[in-house]
Amino acid sequence: MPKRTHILASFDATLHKLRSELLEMGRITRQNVELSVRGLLERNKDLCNQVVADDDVIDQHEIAVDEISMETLLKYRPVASDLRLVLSTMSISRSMERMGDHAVYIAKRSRKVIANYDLADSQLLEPIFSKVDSIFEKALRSFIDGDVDLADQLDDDYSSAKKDIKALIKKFTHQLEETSELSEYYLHLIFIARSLQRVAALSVNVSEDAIFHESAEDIRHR
Amino acid sequence: MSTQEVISSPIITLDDVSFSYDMGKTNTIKNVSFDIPEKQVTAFIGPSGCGKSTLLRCFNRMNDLIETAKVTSGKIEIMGQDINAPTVDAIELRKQVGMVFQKYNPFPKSIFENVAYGLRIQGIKNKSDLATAVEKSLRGAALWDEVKDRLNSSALGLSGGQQQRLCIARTIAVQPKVILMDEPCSALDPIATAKVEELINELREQFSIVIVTHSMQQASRISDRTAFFYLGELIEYSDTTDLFSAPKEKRTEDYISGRFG
Repeated sequence: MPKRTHILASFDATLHKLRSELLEMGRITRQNVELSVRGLLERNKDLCNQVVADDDVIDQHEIAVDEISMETLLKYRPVASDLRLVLSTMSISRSMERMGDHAVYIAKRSRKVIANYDLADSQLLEPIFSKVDSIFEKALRSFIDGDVDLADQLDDDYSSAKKDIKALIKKFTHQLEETSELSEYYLHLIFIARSLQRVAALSVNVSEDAIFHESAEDIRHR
Repeated sequence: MSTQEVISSPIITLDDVSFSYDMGKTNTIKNVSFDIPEKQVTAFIGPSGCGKSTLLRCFNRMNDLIETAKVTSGKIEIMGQDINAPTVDAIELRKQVGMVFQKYNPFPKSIFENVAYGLRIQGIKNKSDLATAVEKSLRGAALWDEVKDRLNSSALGLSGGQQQRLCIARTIAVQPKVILMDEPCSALDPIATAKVEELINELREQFSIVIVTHSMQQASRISDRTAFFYLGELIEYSDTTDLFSAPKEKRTEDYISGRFG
């Protein structure tokens, strides 16, 4: 059942502004993670540079989310689902900002890989990225649509991605030990894989916030 | 109403209570059942006309003063006693169930006499006993330090917030079990309101307090449990934090988040 509007129209407008800000932050963050990996896979230094530059945009969105949240708390003293929206939005924004930082780590390592190596093993990260991106997209959608069932699925998706990442890191570690002249290359790939795992883990945090907002259930650390 | 948990030590128990102002033609309170815990603060919230003050006034039979008003069904027990039983004297009941009103209403007497009034009615005449009890009550109402040097001055010379705390001192002087508060801060400024709220926080250790308030923030700040009423019905009753963070009923959510109207 759709929610009734508030008697104070400005309260609705502020909550709408808060959601819009977060959704735009989510869009840019997801795009940045994608560009950082594409930069590596397509050997495109410009994409990597764009990711580093756009991180500031993500940071500004984080600040804006905090400002609007503060305004909402001060002016409207939200309770119930309105309060949960503000709290979950602030929490998601923190997660996004950290995902943005991981995109920058990936982009910076990708630049180094592109500059020094042209090896096929980089492509092994593509299926990992696809899984991570899917988790990220589902987490965002679960929040936007208030879809608790979708959010609930992400634990399994994360476990599957984590298993794949672990196997890949094992493979890269083996390569690193076998070919000492490529140790730096494989070290970069290992760190990129770990960053992707962190993005997936942070996406799960987003889905937990989505569940908290929708159902008031705090499932963190269970 | 959403399912309520069992209160282990209720001081007030309502069982299917209905109340009418017009001899039962229409019920202002409709089939309300719930328990109010001992030595906690319970807040009643709801839009104007929902019956929360009416119900509060049932607890010390203040509605007896209205000729056509009566509890039309059900039972209200305080400390296990049916307060509407023919054997119960309303005056005696009010010694156990004190009340603080929206508009502070000290008697046009000295500060000392305001607090001593109920004690004198109870037959305490010894000056030393009275002085001790008055000081204890004024300290209990966090007013002693402000008035100890002018106990014989008129109570009407105090500020609004002080007058309300004096009324609370007057109420606790006779050591009731329950204190009913009907919007006790609605006529006070924010500082005086904070002082009364802090006082309520301290009084909860000794008394069971039921407060009617229109301020959601006040209910969420000071109460342990909150009951939401609408059109004479109890819609939801639960732990205050639960009710304000995750209400179970849509009508509660709509009301507390400002979607009513």
